[in-house]
Order: sequence, then structure tokens, then C-alpha cells
Amino acid sequence: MPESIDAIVFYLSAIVAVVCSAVIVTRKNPVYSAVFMVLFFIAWALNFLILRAPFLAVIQVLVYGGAIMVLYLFVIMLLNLKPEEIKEEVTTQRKVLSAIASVGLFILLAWAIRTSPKVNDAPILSNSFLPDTPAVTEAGSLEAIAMELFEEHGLAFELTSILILIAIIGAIYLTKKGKALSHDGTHTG
Amino acid sequence: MPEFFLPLLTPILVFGAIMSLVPMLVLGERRIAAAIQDRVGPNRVGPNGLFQPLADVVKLLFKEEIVPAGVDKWMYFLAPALAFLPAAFAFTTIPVGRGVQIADLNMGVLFAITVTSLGVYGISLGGWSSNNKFALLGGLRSNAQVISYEICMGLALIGVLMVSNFFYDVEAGQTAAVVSSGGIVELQSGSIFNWNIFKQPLGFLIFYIAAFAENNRLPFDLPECEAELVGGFHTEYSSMKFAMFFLGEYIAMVTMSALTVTLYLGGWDPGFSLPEGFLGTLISIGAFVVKVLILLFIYIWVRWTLPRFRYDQLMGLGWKVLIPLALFNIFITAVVCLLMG
Amino acid sequence: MTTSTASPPETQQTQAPTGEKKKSTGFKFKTYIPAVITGLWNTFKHILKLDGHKTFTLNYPEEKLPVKKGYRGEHRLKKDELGREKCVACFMCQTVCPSVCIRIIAEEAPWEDRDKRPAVFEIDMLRCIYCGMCEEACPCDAIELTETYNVVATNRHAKVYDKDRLLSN
Repeated sequence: MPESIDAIVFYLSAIVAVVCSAVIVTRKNPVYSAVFMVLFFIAWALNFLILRAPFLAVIQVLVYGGAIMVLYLFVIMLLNLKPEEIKEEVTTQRKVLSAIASVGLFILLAWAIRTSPKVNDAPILSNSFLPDTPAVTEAGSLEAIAMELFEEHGLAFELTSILILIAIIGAIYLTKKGKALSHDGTHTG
Repeated sequence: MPEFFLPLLTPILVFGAIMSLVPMLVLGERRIAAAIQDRVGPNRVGPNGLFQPLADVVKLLFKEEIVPAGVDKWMYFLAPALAFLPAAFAFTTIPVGRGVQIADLNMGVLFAITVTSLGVYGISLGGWSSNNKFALLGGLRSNAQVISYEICMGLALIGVLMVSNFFYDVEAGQTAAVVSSGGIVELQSGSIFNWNIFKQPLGFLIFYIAAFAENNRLPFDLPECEAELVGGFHTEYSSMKFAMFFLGEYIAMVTMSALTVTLYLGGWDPGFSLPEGFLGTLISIGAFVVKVLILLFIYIWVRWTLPRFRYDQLMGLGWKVLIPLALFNIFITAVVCLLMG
Repeated sequence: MTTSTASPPETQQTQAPTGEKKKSTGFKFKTYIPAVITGLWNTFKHILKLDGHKTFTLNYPEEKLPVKKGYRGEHRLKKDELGREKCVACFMCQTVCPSVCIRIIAEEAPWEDRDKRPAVFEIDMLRCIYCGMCEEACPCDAIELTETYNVVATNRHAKVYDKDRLLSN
């Protein structure tokens, strides 16, 4: 029974995700692309749920759907470009090139996933869905992810946060560049 | 016996309760606002004005539905639903009584925060699709505001999770999973002083202020802002579509209050040990409802007390005050947890 | 508290250096919380009607404000001891009326003590501005303004009061 529900959810979310991605790249109006991107993230979060990784699912929607896409939408709405204002011609040459690039990326990813030792070690993925054994549920739990993140990949995690910190400082510097700051921190010009 | 049909009954009862609470909330808001301004408020329809919400709904239903020229049809029709659904959806993981919860998800708290954060799409898309400058400005403001205050909210939440985790380790008898909302409430039950508000007073303050901003309530109702933006994002909406926005705002208020109660005020815990069985469940539901109503009263009370923030003040408060304070709160919590454990 | 940055630098700059606006820059206002609590307590007193606050609303149709002395409401034509209208159709009120809302047609009076009486005496209440000049102009104290103010009608013709209506007012 759980397997069949998994299958239904998987196929539904997969269809929604594929249709959404098609819509994202074909719409002229960027607002529609943004909205369907959110829908895509939600459908994708369902996939994480099937893989028994609820934390990833929730964080996916929270960070991408709730924060990043809101920011994107903010910028899109702020610019509010009409379709006729975007004078960008998409030539056949470019279309072919991008098609080749995406197919190449897909093949690369598929190959990487298939040959990954972790995936190959994982139990029966090809013809059935995940069994609800404790090992499977625990692998996607918050505790397991936290241990992976802060114990095993602690250094990488800290380096990433330093990178983000640098980016934040850079962004603040860039916005303040034009205006000279006086000693007490107030704007003078 | 109750445990047997609760799974089926709970969703119906909870959503029914929310949907019937909202009209009462509207009436309550009008009456309390009137009391604050030394007026009487609506008292004509039914006994003491009790059927006023019904009259309001009938009025809204029969109003002319106006679709302005130049709107983006799809988004214009989609936006009210988007504003309304997430807020109602977030209630699934909130425990309304002992053992009465639609779904005790493993990531209950995160789920609730996630779903409420999606509510901003309704507002911003409604503002954008209306083809109106005021509406667009309202939608933009809502976007920026929600992003800013969601960070405060998340950081305040970290404090709660740290505290819960700390007490989870100490009291070995607890069986709760820490990030699930049911577990957080269970860890707070027993005595009033187990409530997280006493362990996280600063966190509670930050969370509650951020909740006001998330719900676009005064003093942070800049997306609506009658004084400068006419009606903000819902300027061009009329009739039932406007009512959907209205409903969404009030349901979001109920959800946010319920979430605050769950995280900081002990959820369904009445402050004393509950009797076993059905009676205990009923008392726990009552305690939860009373707490939510008190928070809703504070929402209304604050709205009719404080003036609106200016936009730069709003952003300054969010980024320069609340986020550093929330980080400070996490720091203090971590230090105390280290020293005590 | 770490909330010293609560008000943005722009506002600090615009404030007068003489210190006359000191009230809004003090600690209490910068941290928001004490000021907010003061305000909340203030409105709470209004809710509970403490400190002598009271509800000002009048439940209108049931309760009414007492009409002030000298209030100018709808007109009335007076009658004398014999039940006849006092009006002698002298046209003084019609002449003085600034909004031209009085229409009089005179006829010969059947009584000994006067020559004329109004056959038609109409006041268009929709035009009338209730200035009371007709009352002042009347030489025989025949018209006056009553304290009635809440009479409604469902069409415009009903608001043109004829003689009988004015006599019965």
C-alpha cells in the first residue's frame, strides 16, 4: 500500500514538475515563470518526501519558495517589463546551442548519478520504491542531516558561511560606494 | 472511543472552527475598535450585533464584481485563492488539544512556517496583476516586508528549538520529536513555568513582532496602507474576491496566533495537570482556544493603538534591530544551555 | 538594550539641535517598547472605561439628544383662538425668503377682521434652508419654526408641504 501511494505521488509530482519546467522556459512573461517555478519547487518537495527526506522537502519550499522566489518576484515586479520592452531576439542558432547544452547537462547528470558509488550501494531503486525501514527513515531525518552537515562536512560548511559573509559585506560595500559616510555613520551626500 | 474517530473528525472540526471563528473575529475587531474609540460599534443586526458578520457576507456576495481593464486575467483570479489557502493549510500541523492534531508531522513547526510564508504570493501577485500603481506598490512592499521579517521569525524559532532540545535531553521520559509541533507542546506541558515564553522571553517578543509583520497587521500594514496606497494590493478587488483577501488575512491571523501559542505559550497545556480521557482532551482544547483568543485580542488591541510605521522605519526595525536581537537571543540561549548542561 | 539604532539616521539629522524635540529621541521612544506599553495601557483604559472614559455614542432612534432652545426645524402655521389660521396672506415671508421656497395664493377672507387669507400656502422643504427669516418677517406671528427635524418622505412631491400639512405641524 505505501509503495502504490508513493508511486502515485511520484508520477503526479513528476508530471507537474516537468510541465512546470516547460512552462517556466516558454513563458514570455517572467512573472508566470516565477510562479510556476514555485509550483515546481513544491512538486519537487513531494519527491523529497517520497525519498523519506522531509527536512529537505520543507527547507526546499521554505528557502526557495518562501524566500528566494519572493525576492525574484520582487525584482521582476519592480522592473515590470512589458513583453515588447524586452528586445531580445532568440535566434535559431542560440536555440540549438542551448538545446545541445541542456541535453549534454542531462546526460552528464544521469551518468554521474548512475555511476555514483552511493547510489549503486543503495538498495533496490530500479523496480520498486523505498521500503519504510528504520534505516531509510533515519537517513533522511533532521538528526542525520545535522550530523552529516556539522560533523563530517563541518569545514566545508564553515567555509561556505564565510563565503556568504564575504558576499554580504561586498553587497553592502557596493550599495554604500556612491555615498560617502561621515564619522557618525550618517549620510552626507 | 474518541481516539478512534478523531483522525477523521479533527480536520473537519478544526477547519469548521477556523472558518466560523473568522466572522466572529471581524465582529470582535469592530466592537473592540469601537470600545477603544469610545463608540458602540455594530449592534443592530441580531442580539447585540451578533449577526453583523452574516450581513457583511451577504453584502459582499451581492456586490458587483468588477474586473478592471488591463488586468492579468489568470493571476488576477488566482491571487485571492493564493492568499487564502496557505494560511488555512498551515493549521494542519498545529496541535489544538491533547492528541487532537490533524497531522503530527516530523517537521511540524517548519512546515507551518513554510506554508505561511507562501501566503505572500497571493498579495504580491494580486498587486501586480491589478494593473494599478497603488496595488503594485502594495504588493512590492509586502514582498520586501515578508522576506525581512521571516528571517527574524526563523531566527527566533531557532531559540525555541534549542531550548526544546535541551530539555528533551534532560528529561529522559519525554518521547517527543523536537521539531514536531506536538513534541514542542508536550515539552512545555505540566506547569506554567515550562512554557517557552519564560525560557525565551526575548525570542517570544521577536517572534510576535515578526508575526504582526507577516500578517500585514498594523503597525506593519504597509501593503494595505489606506492613507497613502488607497487600499494597497486589493485596491482593484471587489465583491467575493475582496472577501477572499479579507478572509485570508484573518485566517492568517488565527494561524499565526495558534503558532505562537504552540511555540511559546504551551499550546494546549492549561498550566495544571490534565485529567485522563475525554474530559482532559476537552479542557486542553479549551485552554488552546482561550490562549488563541487572547493573542487575537492583542492583535486587535495593538492595531487600534499604534500608528503605522514608515517604510524605512519598518525595514530599519527588521534588519537593524530584530535580526541582531534574534542572533543575540540565540547566542544567550546557547551559552545558558552550555552552562546548565 | 541594543536597540539604540531604532530610529534611522535620517530622522536624527532632521531633528533640531536645540533639544526642543528631545521627547521623541529619548530612551523611551528609541526602544519602542515602553512607549508601546504606555499606548496600550491608554487604549485599555478606554476599553474598560476607566479614568472617566465613557461611550459617547447615542443609540439614535431609541435615544435622542435634547433639542436646543431656538432650534429651527420644520415650519408650522399657527391658528388663533377660533381655530382659524393667523396668516393674512401679506406675502412678507414669501418676499423675504432667501431660497424662494414659499408660494402663497391669496383669496378673500370670509371673516370680518381681515381682508385676505391664503388659499394656497406651500413651502418646498427641499429648497428651504431653515433660516427662520419668514418667522422674523411675519407681522402677525402666524408662522414659526418648530423643533421637528426628522421627517422623511419617499418622493420629492411629499416634501412640498401644503397649508393643511403646515397647519397640522
